[in-house]
Formats: sequence, structure tokens, C-alpha cells
Amino acid sequence: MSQPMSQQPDAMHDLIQQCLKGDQSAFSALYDQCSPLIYRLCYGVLMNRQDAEDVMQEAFVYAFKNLRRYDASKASFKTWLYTIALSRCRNMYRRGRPFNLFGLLSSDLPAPRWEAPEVRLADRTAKDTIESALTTLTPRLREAIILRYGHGLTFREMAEVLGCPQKTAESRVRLAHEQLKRQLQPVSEHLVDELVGVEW
Amino acid sequence: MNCKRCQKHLLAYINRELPPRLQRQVGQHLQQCDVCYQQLQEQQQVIEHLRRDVPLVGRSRNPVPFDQVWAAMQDKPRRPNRLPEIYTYRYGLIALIAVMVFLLPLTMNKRGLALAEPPTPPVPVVQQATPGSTEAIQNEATSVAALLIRLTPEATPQARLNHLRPDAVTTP
Repeated sequence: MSQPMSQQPDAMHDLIQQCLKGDQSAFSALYDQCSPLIYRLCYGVLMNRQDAEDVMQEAFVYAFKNLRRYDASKASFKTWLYTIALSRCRNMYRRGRPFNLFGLLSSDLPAPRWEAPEVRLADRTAKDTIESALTTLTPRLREAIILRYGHGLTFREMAEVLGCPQKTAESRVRLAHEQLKRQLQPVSEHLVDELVGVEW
Repeated sequence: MNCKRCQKHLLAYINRELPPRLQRQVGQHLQQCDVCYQQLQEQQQVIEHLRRDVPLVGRSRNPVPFDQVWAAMQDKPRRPNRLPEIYTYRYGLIALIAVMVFLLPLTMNKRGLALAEPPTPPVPVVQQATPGSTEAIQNEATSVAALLIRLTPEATPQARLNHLRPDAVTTP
């Protein structure tokens, strides 16, 4: 099983060096490590599966073709890849593609098989709730929330990826909190009732 | 530390990302202010929601296979066909000659001149008058000259008076 991106930076560095030599298997390994994170980022920002897949492919094609430009002394590979993906996401929603809210509500992402049905139901309900809440945010605020809570970036890392000062990243998260607070509070009580009422 | 400043730093306070002194100041204010303390609890609930649920967004297993990405990498973008500069100059000269050949007849008048005749200056209103009025103008010019003669100092007073009378007859 491949190691997460955040662990073993030396292994990541070796993998990048193999990619620079043209080793296709190294590209494949790097892609397997990074693609879930990048897809989650793209989907969280765009809230559309097809757009997220397209943007993810564009981001990886660009990153792999320009791997020689990556400078480990300036930023981590994760930050560099996030920056590329986020730039592609911004290009996508600047094109004016409307949200497919109907598709969002009828998302059919399969849940892991090892989870109990009740957990899967709870996850699905929570996921639908949070996705509905995220669609009410502007793209800038949604980016901040996804990076902060979906990927665990610090405000400093967020500032590098978003291309803004650290204070701006903090204020975006704070503003998103204010908006999401109104969205999540009444639903959370209903969600608790659903979880309590589920039969084993 | 006031409420506005405290609420501004609440998120960083919850994540313990404030400088030690500011962290202590915010903590002291929260112990004294019920409003800010309630805000703190609400923020903590929101953070719990987001930490639990946001990672669920977009959870999937490699929606795009690597082969597809690798194939896209191998596609070389088409380069625009660029002609050598000498061909560019030749084709430009030919195009210029063609433009001149087709547009030149449009700029010629009936006489076959390449440039149109310059516009004639506007004819004065006097010259455009009828032949009859030309005589009147000549008579008027004569009378103007006669007036000038009459007004000259050399003219005799009697001659002046004679000219001023409507029925006066000029005597040499």
C-alpha cells in the first residue's frame, strides 16, 4: 500500500528523481500517492465530479511535464501540486460553468465496504449536508475551508497555495465560519436525531 | 482586549496559533465575557463539524486512471506552421501589389487620373450673380469711386453739396 504524501519526504524526493529520468512506473507511483488528495481538492472547490476529473487530469499533466521546474527549496511537493490544481480550478469556474446542484444532491460515491451500513448512512448524510453548505460559499471561501479542514493545511501553507497573505487566509476561514455556522447548526440537531433513530 | 478583537482571534485561539501573550489575553477575556464565550462554543461546534465532514467531500478511488493521464502527457501540441521570413516578405509584397491593382481603379476619376482633382475653391457669391446684376455692381463701383472723389479734401464744397442732392447733376 502506498505511503501518504505527508510521510517520508525522502521517498517522495527519490520518486521525483526517478520521474525526471523518465521512469513511467515512478510517474504511476507518484500519481497513485497524490491523485486522491488532488481529486478531493478539485471536487471540494468545484463541487462537480466531471469538472473535478478534468481539472485533476490537467493539473497532473502540467505538473508531470514541468516537473523539472519544481524547486524543493521553495515549497513542498504537496504545496506545489496544490497550487497547480487550484489554479486550474480557478480557470474552470472563471469559464462560468454553473453548479450542478441536482447532480450534487444525487452523488453516488461508493462508501468503503468495511464500514457498517449505519456508519455509511451517517457519512452519506453528513457528506450531503456539508456539500450543500459548501455550495453556499463563494469560491474563495470554499477554497479556504477545503484546504483548512479537508487537507489540514496551516494558515501559512494556505497562504502559499492561495497566493495571498496569511492574514487574508485567516479572514477567509473566519468569514466562511460565519456563513457555515448558520447552515450547519439547525441541521446538526436533525442529524443527531437521525443517528439515534437508526436501528442496528 | 475588547469583544471585537477577541472574536477576531477566536479561531486562532482555538487552534492555539496565537502568540503566547495574545493567547493569554484572549483567554482572560473569555473568562469574563459571556458573549464571547458563547461565540467560542459556537465556533468550536462549527470546527468539529468541519473537521469531521469536510474530509468526506470528494472521497473516491482514482477516478481518472493513470493511463489516461500518461496518454495525455504524450500528446504533443501542434505547433503553428511558421513560414521562413523570406516567404513572408514575398507574400506580403504580392498582397500589396494585388491590393493596389484592385483598388487603384476605384481611386481614379473619368479622366484616368490616379488622384482626384482638388476641390475647386468656393465661388464668391458676387461672381455667381446674374449678368444683369454685374452691371449694377459695376455701376455701384463707379458710384463708390465717385463717392471717394466727393469725399476727398480737394473737392469743392459746392461740388459736395451738388452730389448730396438727389437731383444733382455732376458737372465736370
